[in-house]
Amino acid sequence: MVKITSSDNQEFTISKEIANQSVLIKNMLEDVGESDDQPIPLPNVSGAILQKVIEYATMHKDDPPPAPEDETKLKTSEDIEERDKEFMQLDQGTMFEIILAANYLDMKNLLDLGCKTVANMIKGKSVEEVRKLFNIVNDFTPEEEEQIRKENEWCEDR
Amino acid sequence: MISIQELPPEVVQSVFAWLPPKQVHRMKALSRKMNECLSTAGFARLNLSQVWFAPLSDDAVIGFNSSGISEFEWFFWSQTYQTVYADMKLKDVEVVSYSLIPLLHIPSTIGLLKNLKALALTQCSLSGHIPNAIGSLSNIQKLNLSENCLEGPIPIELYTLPLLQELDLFNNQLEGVIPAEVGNWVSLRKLNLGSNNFHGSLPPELGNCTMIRSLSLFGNQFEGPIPPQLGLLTHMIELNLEDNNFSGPLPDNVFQNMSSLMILLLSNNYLNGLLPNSIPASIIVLSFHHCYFEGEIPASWSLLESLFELHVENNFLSGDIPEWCFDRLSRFYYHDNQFTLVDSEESGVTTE
Repeated sequence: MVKITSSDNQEFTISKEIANQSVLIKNMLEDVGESDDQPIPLPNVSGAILQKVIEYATMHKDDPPPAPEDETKLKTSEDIEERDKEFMQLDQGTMFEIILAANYLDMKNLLDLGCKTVANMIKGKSVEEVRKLFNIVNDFTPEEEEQIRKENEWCEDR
Repeated sequence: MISIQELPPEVVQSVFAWLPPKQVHRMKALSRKMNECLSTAGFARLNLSQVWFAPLSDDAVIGFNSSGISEFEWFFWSQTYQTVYADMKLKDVEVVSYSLIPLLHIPSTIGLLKNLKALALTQCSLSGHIPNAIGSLSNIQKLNLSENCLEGPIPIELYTLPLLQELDLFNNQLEGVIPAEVGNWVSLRKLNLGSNNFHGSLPPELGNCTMIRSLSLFGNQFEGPIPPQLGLLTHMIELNLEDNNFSGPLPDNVFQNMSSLMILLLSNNYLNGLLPNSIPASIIVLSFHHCYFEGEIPASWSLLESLFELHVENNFLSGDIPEWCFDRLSRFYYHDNQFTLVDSEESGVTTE
């Protein structure tokens, strides 16, 4: 078993196969060796988020190793397992926290899942709709905005 | 609460890389940070390699393939996207052909399609100049940009394309002169500069383009005499110099060795002197109307068995009209001259 602690000092004890899904933790374990049972500090991830990440890793602990990437195969963000879709039914803040955590912990599958989920929220929406959805402030000067609008006349929302 | 704006750039890029390129271009307008993230070549590569042929509803992307480009979105992408995609996928494309699609301009990145043998963008509402970069398409054999609104000169770089066989720039607003470098086009078979604003005289070097079968320069402001070197173009089948300001008499026997010549159109110029005596027997249509030709219809023309249509109206021709003109020609236009006419010939037009 492996012990990890969150930024708010919550301690989690997880199995090695779950821990190894994070390349960051895996590398740390390899560096410190088997004997050390000091908890691994994860100062960038809160307990609540770590909880969700462990939930995801537990759900996927028996997954077969990923098939080698087929360069010619179609890739689309719609390609998400049902259980993962349910897992990502979260509020926006939590979703972005999980994406950040997956990025920090180097968990490719979870990061992919998060990115695809956000992409699906954006897909088909106009600039205004996306700004509203994610609370993005338009910080262009009117001149810059006009310039970008001109460049992208061809792909204007129709 | 954390927002999408606070994600590290590489994570933002991983999100947007799932979108169709068209929507990516649109999303640059979200904010400065997003614009920055979505404008790098690395991102373009990630995006294009991930979704380039994913079937994505209305925003369906691209379908370039080795036999030609079948979708045209590439023409509108940012230069970064165009460059990255050209590098990834378009190096082997040999044919790009679109008609009646409003592409609006020719991106200079077209020069990156190094294997292009044929480029045809006709009736595509193209405006602006022909990019110099077309001159780097060293394998190009056929270039057709006809029926657009292109302006400016033919870039000098185009004259360095020795494999060029067909150049069709018909019906644009192109201008400038034909330079001596035209003589580099030793493979040229067809040249159509009709309906533009070209001017100046024809350089003698045109005589180097000995493979030419079809030369159409009608509807411009070309001027000066017809160079005798035109007579070196012995493969000529169709020669159309109508509606220009060419002047002076025709060089002696200039058409004599064009043994396949079928159509010769010189009308609406300031040409004068005698009608050419030696016309090849292959001729079908001859047009000399609205010029300043004088003298008689040459007796030698009676031997032109294939001649079907003859226009000599509005000149200063005189003498009798030979019988064969009325007997053999299907269309014969001769009014507004100084012929010695009998009553039955007064109308000046005979058609079958």
